[in-house]
Amino acid sequence: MKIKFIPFFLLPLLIFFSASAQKEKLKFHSINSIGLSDGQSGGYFLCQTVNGLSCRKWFSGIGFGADYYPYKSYPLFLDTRKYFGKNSKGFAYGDLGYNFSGKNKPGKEVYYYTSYHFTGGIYTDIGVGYKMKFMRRSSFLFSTGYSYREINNKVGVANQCLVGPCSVDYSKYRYGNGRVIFKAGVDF
Amino acid sequence: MQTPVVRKSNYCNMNKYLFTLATTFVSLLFSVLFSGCTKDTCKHTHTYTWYEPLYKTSAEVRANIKSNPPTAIKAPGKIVIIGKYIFLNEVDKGIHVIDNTHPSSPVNIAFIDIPGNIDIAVKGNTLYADLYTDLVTLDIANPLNVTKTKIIDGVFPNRSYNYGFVADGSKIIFDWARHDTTLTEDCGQPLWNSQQLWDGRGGVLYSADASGLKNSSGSPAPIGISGSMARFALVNNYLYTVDQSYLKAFDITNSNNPTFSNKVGVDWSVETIYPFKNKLFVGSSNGMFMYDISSSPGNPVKAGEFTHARSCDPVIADDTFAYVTLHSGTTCLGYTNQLDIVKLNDLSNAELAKTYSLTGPQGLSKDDNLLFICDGTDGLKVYNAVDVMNLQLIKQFPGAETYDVIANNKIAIVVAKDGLYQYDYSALSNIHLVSKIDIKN
Repeated sequence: MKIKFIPFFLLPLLIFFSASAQKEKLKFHSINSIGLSDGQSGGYFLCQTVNGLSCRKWFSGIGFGADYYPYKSYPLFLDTRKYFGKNSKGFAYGDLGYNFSGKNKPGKEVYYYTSYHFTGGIYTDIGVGYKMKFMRRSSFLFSTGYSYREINNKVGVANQCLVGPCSVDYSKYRYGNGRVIFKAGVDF
Repeated sequence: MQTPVVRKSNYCNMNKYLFTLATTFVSLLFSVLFSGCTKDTCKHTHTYTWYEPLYKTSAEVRANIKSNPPTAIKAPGKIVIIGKYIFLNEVDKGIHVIDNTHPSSPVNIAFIDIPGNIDIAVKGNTLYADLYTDLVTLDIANPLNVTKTKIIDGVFPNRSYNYGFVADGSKIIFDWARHDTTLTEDCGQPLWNSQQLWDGRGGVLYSADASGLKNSSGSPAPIGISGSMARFALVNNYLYTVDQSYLKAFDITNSNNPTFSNKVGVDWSVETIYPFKNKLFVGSSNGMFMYDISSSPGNPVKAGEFTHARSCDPVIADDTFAYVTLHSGTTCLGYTNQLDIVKLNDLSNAELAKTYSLTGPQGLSKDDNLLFICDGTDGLKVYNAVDVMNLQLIKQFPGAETYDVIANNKIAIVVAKDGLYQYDYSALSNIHLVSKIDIKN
């Protein structure tokens, strides 16, 4: 993990200890969203759940989702958001985590292969949103953001042979996807 | 008093409206700003090895075809066992001579330099080997002092290299200098620039005669038994070879002076040849072809064929059935991993009797009612084949990535990725490893 990401992971801890120090009440939140990721490859459905604690205008939690743009993946990430504005209706968020690969097959960019193995990569998402209360403790959340994620594929091409185990040539495909993300969710 | 309240309410509504507007504006601005970043990238990193040919003159190469000091085994190919010696092909380099007096501790004692060598066969004191396109005949009466007796030029002209590489015809490639290269390009860009040697020949040979190398009794010289991966086969006074398309016959009545008899077109992707009695079973990517050599051994006559899905397919046979393993995972394509058992009652109408699903089967061998199968990463499997319609797995030796086996005289010799194994199967209840020669990778 690159050093520059360390502050991002330290932030939730900071919130927690800060709240503990000030003896402020931490509130549990579960934010469940569905959405659309839109980029060069088109529009793809996504869904995610983020569960964590809020303190004052800060929230931090752990999220997990399904992201099929364009290769299936399941991001596991840390979500941090800051609410602002009157009644804290606006918010800005940032996600950072690991993008686990789903069960994929190589696309057209891989001309020929005898084996393949998808692995994950980095997952990021930053954006802004708007919160609308609809019950005493619940809210609708709408957000838009930019997400960049990576997924890797190790492709093998076996050479023809009859003597001995056939040698295999391996190559790697690294996919980077930058998309605009639109999400609508409910905060319980 | 009411006016200020109305004003305050209006003020709050105005604030709310402005805030929503501002948030929407920021969201749209966000989308617009980042729309330029909505880019999918794909980077293809390929690490490949290419080989630079190192040449010697034909005279230099031929002068060195003799017993030289032993070298480490790196890429084993076919095997011939005769007497207490094992002749083990080092792919494209030559032949190791191994003293197997004590199967539990074989000793590598010499190396015969034959560049381009892949196939070997033995009849009595004579060893036949290919030197790229040439056929070399060696006197191996004294394995520590092997001498060449004849070289026939250009009998295997179909040998080819990858990617259109053409060797300097005036010299002989004796080795390849390895170069490792890593390239990263956007997906879709061609990365290939290698000159890898391509040649699909290989297998195991084993001599049926374990009594000794010398044959001074006047009886017919012992003839090697081909393994399922072999492309050289010996039957009586004929040496049969297959290349990519042709089956060729050489008269070896005079062992040290083979003479070309005839060639027969078989298929366009021939891989192996297996002799059984007066039949030759030729395996290709498309099927198994059967040739009769009873009436005219110098001119094999096609007796039948059995076609299957495109796949690599070593084959062996007995009186009643042919055993064909189909495996995928190589550029011979195919997605099949199985053992096909084919009825041979009527060669002109060979029928599939039974199919067994396997992991990645390659070489196989049969001794009496025991069937040995190299099942790729599953290792060596030993089956009771009394009833071929109901094979029973007796023993499995996992761990080694095996690819060919010869079972004879209660010893199964297995070529695997990490070594040459010998298993004793004299007692079915105690099939065990006798020795292993490690391969230096």
